Amino acid sequence: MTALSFSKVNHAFGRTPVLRDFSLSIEPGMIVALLGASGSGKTTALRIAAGLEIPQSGEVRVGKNLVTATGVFVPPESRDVGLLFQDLALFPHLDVDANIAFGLAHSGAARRKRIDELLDLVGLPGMGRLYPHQLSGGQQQRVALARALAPAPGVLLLDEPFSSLDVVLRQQVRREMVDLLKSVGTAVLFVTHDPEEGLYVADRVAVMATGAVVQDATPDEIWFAPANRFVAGFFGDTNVLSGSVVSGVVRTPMGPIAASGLADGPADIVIRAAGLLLGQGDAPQAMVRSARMLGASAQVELDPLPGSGIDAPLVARTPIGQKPEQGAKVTLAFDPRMTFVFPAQA
Amino acid sequence: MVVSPQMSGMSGRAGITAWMGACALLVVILAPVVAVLAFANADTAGLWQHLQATVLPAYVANSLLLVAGVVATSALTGVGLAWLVTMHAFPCRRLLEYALILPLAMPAYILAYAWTDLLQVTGPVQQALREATGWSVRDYWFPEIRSLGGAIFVLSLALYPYLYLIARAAFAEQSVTAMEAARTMGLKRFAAFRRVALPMARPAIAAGAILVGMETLADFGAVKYFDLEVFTTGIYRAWFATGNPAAAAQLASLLLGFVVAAILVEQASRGARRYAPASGARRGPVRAGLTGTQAVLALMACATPVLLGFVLPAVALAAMAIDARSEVDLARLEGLALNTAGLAMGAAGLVVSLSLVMSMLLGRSASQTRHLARIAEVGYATPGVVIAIGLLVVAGALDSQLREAGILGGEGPGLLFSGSIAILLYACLVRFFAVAHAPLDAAWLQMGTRYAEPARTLGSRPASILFRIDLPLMKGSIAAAMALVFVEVVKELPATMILRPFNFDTLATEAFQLATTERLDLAAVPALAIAAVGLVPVILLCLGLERAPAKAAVS
Repeated sequence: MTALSFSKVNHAFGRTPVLRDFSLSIEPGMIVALLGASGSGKTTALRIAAGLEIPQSGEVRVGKNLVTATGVFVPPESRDVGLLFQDLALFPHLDVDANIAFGLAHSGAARRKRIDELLDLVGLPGMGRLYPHQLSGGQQQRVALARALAPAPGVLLLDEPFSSLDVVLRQQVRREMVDLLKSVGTAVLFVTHDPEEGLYVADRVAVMATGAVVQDATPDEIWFAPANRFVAGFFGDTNVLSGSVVSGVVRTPMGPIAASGLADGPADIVIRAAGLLLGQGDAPQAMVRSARMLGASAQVELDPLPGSGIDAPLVARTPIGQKPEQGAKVTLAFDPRMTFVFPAQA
Repeated sequence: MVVSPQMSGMSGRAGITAWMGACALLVVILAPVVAVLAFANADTAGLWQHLQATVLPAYVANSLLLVAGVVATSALTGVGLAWLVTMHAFPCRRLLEYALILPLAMPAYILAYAWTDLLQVTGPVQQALREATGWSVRDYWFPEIRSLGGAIFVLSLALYPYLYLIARAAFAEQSVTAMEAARTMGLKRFAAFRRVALPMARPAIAAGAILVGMETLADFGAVKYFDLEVFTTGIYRAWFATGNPAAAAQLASLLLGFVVAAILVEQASRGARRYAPASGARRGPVRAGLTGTQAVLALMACATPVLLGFVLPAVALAAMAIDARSEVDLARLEGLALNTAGLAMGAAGLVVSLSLVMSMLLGRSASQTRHLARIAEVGYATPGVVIAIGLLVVAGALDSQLREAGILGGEGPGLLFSGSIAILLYACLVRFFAVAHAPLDAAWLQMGTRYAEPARTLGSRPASILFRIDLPLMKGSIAAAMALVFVEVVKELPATMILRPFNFDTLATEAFQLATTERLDLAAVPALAIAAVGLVPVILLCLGLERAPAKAAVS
């Protein structure tokens, strides 16, 4: 049983392919983040699910119903799907009550009751008579969510829902919305280009590249066991060293690392910035070119020292208390949980 | 019916149906224009040869002279005054900046009535002259207003505001930097105007001049009242005096040829050149302060067209109306007002509804195919007389078909379409469709799919989105478009004159008939009513100027 599933969906705008054999499924009650760079096709997937776009081939199901397939097209108004638009698109000529009630089939007292329920749910009781332009950005966000949830859709699609909010507000609204969505229990497909947001919000993260899902896993798995170099690199700075696998082990200037399951041959070693550990010692391998504050952590750029066996500059992320001095010479090590070996890319 | 463009692209059949609907609507709108051209080949029983040998050279010569005179006069007035008010500061400048649009409220034929009264032998100007000099009527020469020169005078007064508005917007849009650069390179203010500001505004001014030229060619009321032999009056005469539709259609085709030529020249003059400022922040122009004699001269220059084109004519009409008040038939006036308002409301409703239908058929996104709807602008460019002839041809053909089929005939006049209100509404649709469609389509496109898509995901069917989302959001634009069409219909004269049903008069036809039967004083009352209605768009325009001082585009 799935709430929403895509199966081998292909779509192109003119001659530019956007989705290639795109497949993904979402179980009821689950929040799935669809993560990808802009232009990777994630918004198109969302619009196809909503019925606002018709793909060239492939199938889409909402619950048990086949809604898009060859010769089958259920129009958006007849799908059990809610969509929260990136620009919110609250109807400017309607007040909050009427915006929320727009998709309701109820009338009279039942309608009023449902509106009040939703206003309570999103924390805006008593604000039903205001118009969208009288609300703050965060309030508009909540009204848009209430409007999308009002008809109790089987699956809710969110298109970059926080991109219109400023950074401080974004984190607060995000936290509230996750709690709220969890309490409602609707299946959610959430599109974002912000890796941190994807990891924070979702039960499962699907990373997209060139029109297809390259990894679909829990946030922990995505972070600690990326499927390939692209996924590893998508979540922040990484260092890539080249080496070769010999009997399941790669030797690096910072020590050996297990490469279980990989055949002998050239390999890429990917170390997350946070996984590159700096230390003091007799045989320093790099010199700190710069160390900059990022808030809770520091970004450190390193130049390898001659004889270290490393041929490219490195980047590390240290806790703020361990920020090194510029020009300091440091030894290098890696955290194996944040270091990955992949077969070398051509 | 309302499908998002993506969807129409996918489920191709709905898209093609909509597209064919849009084409069909365009065909309906332009049918009378095409009919004129198609009928131009018909046999005229020698009348065409006769016309060619006798009056045609005069029509061509007079029309061209009239256009040349009006375009030159309005360009000098409009562009010069636009330069004065945008680049200089002098007393009453802001007031005059708006007041200069006032003559737009007066159709040319009403200015013609008023100025005839002011300048005729028994009028106030000549009376004052005689009292001042002691001359008698035979002792002096006085220019005759009912002449080609007089027509150039009143048409220029009625039309210069178009060029003024266009040039004013162009000057205000120009980057101040370009002017400042010219000044730092040693050009004096006027030289900078001539060598930088004017060339930059050239495409806009050329487009405005062509618009004025087309309006001049289309004028019927003023030239007919002055008894000038130009195309529009010739067509009218060919139809009514000789009852020869083929000859009228041939003259109309020729006039249409001039109009099309003007449109092509305008398109070509735009070319691929870009005159909009390439980049950089725009500041409002720094106005040069005028003092002393210069300020007085500037003030007088701006006040003169307002006085001549609005204040004096309005006063003259009011004076005539007051003098004739005992003879005014209030009941008849009320009937005229009701006829006019009814016709204008009906036309506004029809035109605006079909404009909206056209926008919907063309989908919700900007596209190349969307430009097709601009073909309807040909209808707006076509003189009312020509449209009327085209419709008579179409209606006459339909009626004779019905008579032959035995559906019409017997006791009645054997006419169903000819001389009905429906045909008059049709004429308004052809002529004013573009007036409503351009602003409505802009509003429709601006809305795009932004609210329609959420409405659909919330369970609304396309037809209900129209009533729940589209129409409420476009309320303001719809009201403005209705008002524009309403006013145009109230001012319209030639098509109404030719196509109106028997015994159906509007304010415009009544004023025209009274004026041409030497009852100018009685014509003043309906004329004043028309001018009052004409003030509505002028006020809307002023409010628009207030909000967006430099919004119109240069290119």
